[in-house]
Amino acid sequence: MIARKLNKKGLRVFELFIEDLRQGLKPNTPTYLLDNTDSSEAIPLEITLNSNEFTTRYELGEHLVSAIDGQDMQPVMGDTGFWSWLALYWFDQLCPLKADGSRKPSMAYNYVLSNNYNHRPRHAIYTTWQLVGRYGGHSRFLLCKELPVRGELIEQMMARQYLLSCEGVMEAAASLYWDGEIGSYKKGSAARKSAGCVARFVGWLQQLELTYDLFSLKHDDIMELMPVEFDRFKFPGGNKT
Amino acid sequence: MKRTINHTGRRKLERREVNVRLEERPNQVPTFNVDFFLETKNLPSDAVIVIEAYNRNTLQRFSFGTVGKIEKPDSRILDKVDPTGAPLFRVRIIDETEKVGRLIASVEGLKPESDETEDQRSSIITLACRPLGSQTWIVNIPADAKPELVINNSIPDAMHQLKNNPLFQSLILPSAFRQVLMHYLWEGEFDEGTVQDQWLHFAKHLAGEKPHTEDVSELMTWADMVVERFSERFELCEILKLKMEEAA
Repeated sequence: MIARKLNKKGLRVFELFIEDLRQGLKPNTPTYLLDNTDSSEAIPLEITLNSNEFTTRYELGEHLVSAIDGQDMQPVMGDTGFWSWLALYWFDQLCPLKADGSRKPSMAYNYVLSNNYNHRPRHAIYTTWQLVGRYGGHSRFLLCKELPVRGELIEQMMARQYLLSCEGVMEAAASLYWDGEIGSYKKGSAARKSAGCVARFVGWLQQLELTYDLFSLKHDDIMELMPVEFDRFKFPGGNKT
Repeated sequence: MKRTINHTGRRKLERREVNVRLEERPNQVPTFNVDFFLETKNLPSDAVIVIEAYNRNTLQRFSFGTVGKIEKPDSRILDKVDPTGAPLFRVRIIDETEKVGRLIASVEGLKPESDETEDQRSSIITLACRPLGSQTWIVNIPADAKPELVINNSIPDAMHQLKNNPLFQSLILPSAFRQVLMHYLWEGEFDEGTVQDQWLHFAKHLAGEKPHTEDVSELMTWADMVVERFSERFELCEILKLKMEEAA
């Protein structure tokens, strides 16, 4: 299907649909909004999407980045209609039907791109695209859960959104927390207080930011500056050589 | 007395040391320009200057040479920044003589300077031009800043039209005025000197005291009267008719 954007009417219907679901009603997904000219409009890009089943948000991001194929995204960056259209297109995967026919959607801003600074990065597709487009495989540790799950790590990294713009930081975080063997983040990464967890990493970077230019720090610079508390993730087997 | 200790030795640049201007053109991605008035006394001449433009969770960084030799990058197009809001800017001066770049001076949250006069700066609404898809104009009402009347930047010479064309003014301004006023009326009480307070003060000046009620229809009637007086005061309909007659 060729991607479009929801217009004001389409957005309103989509929002009402989410509201109904959150109230426990069981309406059908309004997929008719996607290509109806009354509720959607064309965009100045050609993006052909498929309706494959994705096992993780990362896979969805890979597909989207590949479908965009290097086109200039500036015209639709931050466009509520476009990103909400994508969330509607994949809504049945982002918020799957339960056995009793109900769905349990998250807050509407996970699907309808919000203008609120704090809510905007919580959009399921927009943030996924930003991370995969910018960091490729290095973003896998944040997007390795199934589609309905945003994941604890991304939640903690978003506490300081600037970090998500720093390539060296993202690469260092990926090498600390990603476990390629299990295809997920390392055990203990998502803890809130224990040594070396992502929350501590974010806190440490906030201190580092007072002194150093985080944006230009390379992966190796960060790994060298890192205090010993991160050794349990840096050298998971205890082997420092 | 509140005291702060600067452990980092980093200097906070004064806003007057950097002057950022946004250059918006119809149907084109905005660019920006910067003039530096740096007090360089305590800044090494080989320290690197970078500027970051940001809006919401998007960011774009540009290198501007060094303190001793400022070099503007050829391209200052903001094509990686979310265009649905006005970008802010931060300036960082970095000592790169060591292996890892050390931040020695910075300033955050710089708003680009506009072409506004002193009179316009004291106005109660700001004007902007941005991509709006098929919408011709919208009103943004942030919680802690002046409301903003945004006109679609694909309209040729949009800002000039809004400032000078009676057709634009007479058809947009009353409705925009009503939107802002109704928004503030629903919000309730405000502190003295806030933007909301300034709006209600202006409205009272036009149509007298706001009714002391929460009755929606009474408040709407008062808002209608404010907008009517506003239109009368600026003779919006008369000027529009005159211009149309001249054009005929």
